[in-house]
Amino acid sequence: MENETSRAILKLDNVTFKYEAQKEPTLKNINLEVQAGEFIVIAGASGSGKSTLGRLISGLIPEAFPGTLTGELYFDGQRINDESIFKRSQKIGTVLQDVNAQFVGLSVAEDIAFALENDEVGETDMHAAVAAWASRLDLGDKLQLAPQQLSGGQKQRTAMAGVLIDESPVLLLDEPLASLDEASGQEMLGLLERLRTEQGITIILIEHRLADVLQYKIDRVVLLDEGEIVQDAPPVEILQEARLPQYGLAEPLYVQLLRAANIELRELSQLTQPQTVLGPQLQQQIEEYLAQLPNHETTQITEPLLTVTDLSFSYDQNQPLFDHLNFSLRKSEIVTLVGKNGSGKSTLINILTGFIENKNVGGTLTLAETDLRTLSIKERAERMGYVIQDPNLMLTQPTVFDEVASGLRLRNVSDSEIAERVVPLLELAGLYSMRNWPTDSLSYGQKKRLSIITILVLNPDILILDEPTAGQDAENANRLMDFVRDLQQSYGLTILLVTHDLGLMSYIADRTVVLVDGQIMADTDPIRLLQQPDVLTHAHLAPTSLDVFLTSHHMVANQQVYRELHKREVAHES
Amino acid sequence: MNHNIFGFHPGTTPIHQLTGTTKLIIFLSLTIFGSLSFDLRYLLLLSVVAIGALFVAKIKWTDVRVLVWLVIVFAILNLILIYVFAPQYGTHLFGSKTVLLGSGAYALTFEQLYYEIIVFTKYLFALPLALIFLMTTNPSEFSAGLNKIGISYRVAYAVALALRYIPDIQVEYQTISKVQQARGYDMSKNTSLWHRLKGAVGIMMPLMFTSLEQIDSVSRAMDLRRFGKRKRRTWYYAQKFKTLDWWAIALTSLLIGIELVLLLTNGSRFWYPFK
Repeated sequence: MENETSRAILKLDNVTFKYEAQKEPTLKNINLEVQAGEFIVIAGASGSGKSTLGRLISGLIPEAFPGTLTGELYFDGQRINDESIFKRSQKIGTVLQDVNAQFVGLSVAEDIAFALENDEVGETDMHAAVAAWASRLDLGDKLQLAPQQLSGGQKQRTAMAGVLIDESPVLLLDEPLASLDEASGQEMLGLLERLRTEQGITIILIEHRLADVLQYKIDRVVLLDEGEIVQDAPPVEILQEARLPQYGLAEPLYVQLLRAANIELRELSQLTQPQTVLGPQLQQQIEEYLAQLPNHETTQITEPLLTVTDLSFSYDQNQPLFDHLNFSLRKSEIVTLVGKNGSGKSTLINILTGFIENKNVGGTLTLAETDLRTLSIKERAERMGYVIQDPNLMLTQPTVFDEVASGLRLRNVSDSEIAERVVPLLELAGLYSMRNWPTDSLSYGQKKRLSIITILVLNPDILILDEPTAGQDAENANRLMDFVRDLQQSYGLTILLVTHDLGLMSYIADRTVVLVDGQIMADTDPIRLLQQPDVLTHAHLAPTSLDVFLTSHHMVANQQVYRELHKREVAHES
Repeated sequence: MNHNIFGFHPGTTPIHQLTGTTKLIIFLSLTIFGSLSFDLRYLLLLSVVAIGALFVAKIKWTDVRVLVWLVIVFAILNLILIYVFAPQYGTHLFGSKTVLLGSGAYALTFEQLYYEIIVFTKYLFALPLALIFLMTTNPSEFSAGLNKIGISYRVAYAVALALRYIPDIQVEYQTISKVQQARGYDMSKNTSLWHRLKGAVGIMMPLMFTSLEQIDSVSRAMDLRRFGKRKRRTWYYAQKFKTLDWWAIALTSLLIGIELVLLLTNGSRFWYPFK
């Protein structure tokens, strides 16, 4: 008997899909039912097939990505295997991962209207529909703005309005958190909850940053691994059974703490809520665990290496970005630079590295007694290496070895010395066996490590990394950061990390600098920053779930907890 | 780093307020009629109008500097090449020969000089017109305009998207270029042109790959919102012609009218009073 009350709006029956160019199917025997009005999350590490599953649901497969599809797809009881992408888009609205590419129009209003324009909707109806959806998604006063003027969250909401305007019953989002800072991510998830309750929209979220998602009202988590569904269960069960680390995904930090303290998760109520999770002797057990952790190592204060004094700079003469900014980096310390987008983090780095020309820059920049302003970009790079966020924009050579050797060749270093310097770095990065591969054939994580060693080969004293873990799953992110830490220890490097991830900041940083609207709001150790909620709000940062948990249970975190939990997580992965 | 980037900049000047269709019609008709004319008086008039409009549109020198220098270099090269390949074209055109300097095939004649001045004034009006059009026309309005004068909306949109991505590609080019300079490619003015060219090729590769990827994802995003489903589409920014547009078109018609009158009175496209 069919269940009358809950009908499947979307059903995949034994679906297998193989891309044309590949030997093995990317998705194997997928059986999935989504009920109308559900909020489900499809999760998995990189390469698990979750994006492929998304493309299949959105209709991009097989039209935009040809391949062999077996099994049946149903929408509301109707078979949709051979449906065109245009028809599918009216049933399932899809927001793609890259919001910048998703933004087709030149203003918010035009982008929201795009689908209606293509359906030849008349001007009056179109303007009314745009206004309605814009106000539902808090974009009412942003209609005339261009994409460059929007924050990540606003772009994401514009993209959502642009598909919801079809009044399609299902909304599919592919890794919407990837381009958002933590605070905007939380806002977005709250909005999805609201859309589900108020508009009855079925929501399918593809995401690997599960730790940020689980505290919302999600009905089910579908875990994918190597193209197969390995678990399909409510969030609580997923946490209780420790499924996430098993499949290369990060658990929320407070759950990691509960596990480390040997607490039986099944005995807790409200496990998905860090503020309100409750259990017998919960607090006592956590306190005992915290007490037995080794004492916080006091980091030695070393002499300053880089000093920025009275820095002033403006893009626009009427609006100075920096006005008498002071900033320094000491020898061998790891500093994180945090703050909302557009606060001047990138600008500061571009000034340091010489990417921004001297002439508009005021103040003094000193690196170990050398005036940085007298050095060219090339000379600065020999002392201060900068790894930009997108490794694809850094790799220009045919093979992995050439890529690393390039900086040395351009400095006329002899071939024998090049080999001596390049090989150990390739080994350290785990890329030695691939040294003759074309750089295109590497995975994203490998490209990221490669881009770091191409900079390190010049032996800089300072390494600057922009959002090194962005867009990577937990396992890859941890591997990368451990690699960075090894480098720091073996070369005595000073490291400046730009990041939004306060979890990362909490275990890795000796010091953290908060930059908001061109001003340093705080310069303190990471744990103290977490205890200043007003600074966090100003900087668009969200406290870690561990901090939320401890504060609401009247305990205080120290850096040792973060380091210990990170160590445990890494040990579990290997 | 969205500064000094060449491309559409929003604004409130009367020229910004004209519809995309108006600007397209004016740009095309004046460019075509201007390039047909060899009447120095008329070309100077067009130049004055175009340069005046440049000020009305409040276009900043820093935004267009690079392009203007490029065009100037190209124009000078063009003038030199005309002289190298056809040093007596002017005398042939105007049917007289007044030698100013030198002798033989490369003698500098007044007629040649006059002809080259005419060619130069063509740049003088065409460049400001193109700058105004590119800097003040919102690419979406532009494609709506193209569509309105009868061009397929698919083509119109493709052109608009290309225009739209010009600023993005410039930013990416700058990033890659700076990273490469840090790696050791000296792209500054103290190295040879050959060296700088080699460096530029190194930048083009990643730029091409990322651009191709972007094109891919944009076209997917457009598919998902049914672009190309129907024969026609509507436009959110379908602008209605306002009085200002009619005035602008009237002014353009007047300029074209003047040219037609001049054509008739001269009896040809040329005007040469020095015979």
